[in-house]
Amino acid sequence: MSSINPTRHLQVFSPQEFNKAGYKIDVIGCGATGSRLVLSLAKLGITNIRVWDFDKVQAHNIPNQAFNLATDINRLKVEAIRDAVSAATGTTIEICDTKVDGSQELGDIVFLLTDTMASRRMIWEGAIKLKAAVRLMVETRLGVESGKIYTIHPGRLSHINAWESTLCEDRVATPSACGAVVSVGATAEIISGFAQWQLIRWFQIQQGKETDLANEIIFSLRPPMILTRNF
Amino acid sequence: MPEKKVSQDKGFIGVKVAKLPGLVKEIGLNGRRTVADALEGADLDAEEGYELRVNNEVVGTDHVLSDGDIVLLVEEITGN
Repeated sequence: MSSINPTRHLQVFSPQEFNKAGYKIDVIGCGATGSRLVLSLAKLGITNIRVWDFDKVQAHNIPNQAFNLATDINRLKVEAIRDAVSAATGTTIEICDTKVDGSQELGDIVFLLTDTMASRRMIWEGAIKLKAAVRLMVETRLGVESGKIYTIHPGRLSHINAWESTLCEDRVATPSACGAVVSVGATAEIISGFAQWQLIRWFQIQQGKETDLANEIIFSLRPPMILTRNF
Repeated sequence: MPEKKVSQDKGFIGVKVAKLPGLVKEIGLNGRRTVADALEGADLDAEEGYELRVNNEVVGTDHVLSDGDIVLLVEEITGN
């Protein structure tokens, strides 16, 4: 199978240069955000991707995640996304169907896309914070009509302190009216897009083409509004 | 941005109060100038599940506002 042709985005992001640099990407969580992001990263032309998730695809995942009704129900999400990436791009990604508990050694770039604050804290403390191997962490939070994207260097004290101050308790986060988890694919599309752009910007900085990267992006869809901060 | 706990004058100021996601209101404050005053004027509370900010900096409800400030209640979210 041939590889994808990145001509259309080559001026913005060169997958050849990125892959040549040897960066390894870990995506932790393959839900509404993660499943889209993995597919998008592969379509950028990135090849060294490892995805972590221990869940299986259920019927209610189909409307808001990047899985297929015909082929993916009851499959492990990581297997389904591996096959989707392979079919879409010809790229073979690495998958792990185990729960990330902070004991794992992660790569240069970590997308922390779990769905509880407790899991974020555990993985952050054990496998990301002050780990020399991890050069960039992008962590996202998906709401119904809002989203947050954090992009930090896990070894930089100002980033560590500022990001940790944004962590809330899981019980504090706004529950849905009916108690069920509400998740809208359209919002996940936006978060995934921002997360992907944060990686592109970061790589542009490594190449000396860009100087600024917002550490916090918050968007609201009602009313439409974007807030950014630098740590 | 440091907390501003200066003495208040009694002049009129206009501020925006936003609950994100949700709404944005423009209100006037005459004399009373704290974030708590602005939230009361907008019929909003600094409720659990929302982070309070002014001009995108985290503050408390006793923070003193200036003309043109934007008070934000930002929803805490954890999904993905």
